[in-house]
Amino acid sequence: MKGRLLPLYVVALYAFLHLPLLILCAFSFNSSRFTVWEGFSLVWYRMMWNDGALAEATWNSLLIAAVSTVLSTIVGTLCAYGLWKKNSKLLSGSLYLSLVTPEIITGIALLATFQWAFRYLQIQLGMHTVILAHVAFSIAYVVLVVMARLRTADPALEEAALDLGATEWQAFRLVTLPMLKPGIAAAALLAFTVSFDDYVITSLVAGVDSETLPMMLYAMARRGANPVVSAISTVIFVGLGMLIVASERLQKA
Amino acid sequence: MGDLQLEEIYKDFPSHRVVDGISLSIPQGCFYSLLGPSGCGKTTTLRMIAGFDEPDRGLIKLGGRTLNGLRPYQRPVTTVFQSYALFPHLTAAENIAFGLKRKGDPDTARKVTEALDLVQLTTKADRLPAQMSGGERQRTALARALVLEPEVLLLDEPLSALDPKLRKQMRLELKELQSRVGITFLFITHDQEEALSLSDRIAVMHKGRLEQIGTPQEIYLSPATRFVAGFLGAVNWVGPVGVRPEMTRISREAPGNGARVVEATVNSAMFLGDCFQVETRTSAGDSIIAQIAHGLGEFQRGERVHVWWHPQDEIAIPQ
Ligand SMILES: Nc1ncnc2c1ncn2[C@@H]1O[C@H](COP(=O)(O)OP(=O)(O)OP(=O)(O)O)[C@@H](O)[C@H]1O
Ligand SMILES: [Mg+2]
Repeated sequence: MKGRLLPLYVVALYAFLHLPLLILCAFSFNSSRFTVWEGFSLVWYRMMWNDGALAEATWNSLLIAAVSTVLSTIVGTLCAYGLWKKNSKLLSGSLYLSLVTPEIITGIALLATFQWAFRYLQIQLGMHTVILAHVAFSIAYVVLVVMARLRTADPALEEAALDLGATEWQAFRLVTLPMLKPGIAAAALLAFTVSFDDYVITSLVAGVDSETLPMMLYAMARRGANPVVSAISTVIFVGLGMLIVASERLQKA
Repeated sequence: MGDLQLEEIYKDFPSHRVVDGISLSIPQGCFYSLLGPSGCGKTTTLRMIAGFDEPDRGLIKLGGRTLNGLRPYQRPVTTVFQSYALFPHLTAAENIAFGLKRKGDPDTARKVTEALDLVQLTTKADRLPAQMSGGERQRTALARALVLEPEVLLLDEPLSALDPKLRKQMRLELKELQSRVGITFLFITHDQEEALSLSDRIAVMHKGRLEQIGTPQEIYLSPATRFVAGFLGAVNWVGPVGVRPEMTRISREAPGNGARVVEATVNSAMFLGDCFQVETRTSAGDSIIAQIAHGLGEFQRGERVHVWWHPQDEIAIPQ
């Protein structure tokens, strides 16, 4: 009894989790525009490939994700290092608060802050505000991952480096940083994915020149079923999936 | 080069005073042990010498020069950590080269080779710490600290992470190494056998204070306090007088020639491999344990015996 139920349960669970994506993926290869299977075709992928606006949105998304990943990884790693040294429950706790804050609230708060700042600075919403927002919400993820790595580290390692003649800066650069490398890489990948994925906050703080891929997808999907949307989604899903797998590997390394 | 001196060192942590007025003087080239139970402040003392912590009061001097306030990398002392603290991303050779490179030593390559040779790790030079055995890690940590030719080498329970057999072997190697390099070793341990067998001098520490300083024989044979007597080995206390079990004899007939004798009843007899351990009780209710060699007769539970020892073997605690 138990022997047969368990596999059944697993199949049902995975179907529940992944069937919608599989259906989406299947229809992206359908030659018909409608949800009736007519035959295999790459027509929607070709359309996707030739769409100029889509290419621009993709470029925006990649650029934003890349820049915000670099910035949030640097800031987040240093922040994790500081929290580890100071060992303050209050400070690390309040950092994780940003992980549980609803995205919509974070977005509205950022928008309000930008609009307040714009009274004094002659700038407008655009790529830079999106990047700033992404850095802001990615930092907590970076800290989380890097801290996990630091917590398993021997605190005597830096002392050993000092003992052997290294300055504090050399101890950090030559001992702690190399030891953290896998954790930092995993954190960067995670920051990249959460930035690339984000819709809610991005759509609030984006300007006219900064439409991202998720924003465009959302707009297209709202206009009704569209196999091009399915094709794009499939590509994103596969791409990000590979990043996540890579990040898992790195965390274990 | 010169003696290491601690003068009236105090250190408080928020909860309590951890080091409570320690003064000691370690002659150059000495194998000096700081012996005491867990939590008595040994590591804290060592950390203040290395420069990881600063004393609240008191001076640390090396060859007359005050070390207080110097950063760890400015002090001519190096440390072998209890956890070894080998850099996990560097090989044995790279770990050993780390300190020499920080100094920009032009002789790095030769010195690393010699250090590897000194601790017999030449064939393991390219291993990462994760690929080494406990003993190899321990030797790497030793070589890494020694290669800088410090004036004092601090060792924080360097053998405690090893299994008992390897521990005995490393103990011999450590002693041999020290006499070869001639560097002052300050060795921290809570294992009295380790301290007795390795040291030229021992300082016994208890609750942040020094109870006694002396040679292993002095400490073992004439302990200054009851704590020292008990910490270095088992003691039978008969009133104010103590005697070690291996100095205690048992016989059925009364001994002559000025021995101290107590009449007692055998409570248990145990075979320990290298000797018999006989536990007896006096009429006053004191328990006296005697370790006697094989062939001195077997004793049965309930038997009336004479427990005795020579007066010169007594431990008399100065009041
Ligand atoms: N950073 C610290 N903050 C507060 N208390 C500390 C700190 N470091 C050590 N202590 C306390 O100081 C006391 C002495 O610690 P120490 O590490 O010097 O003991 P030890 O003699 O080395 O013991 P062990 O043999 O267990 O290593 C302990 O009670 C410990 O809890
Ligand atoms: Mg300790």
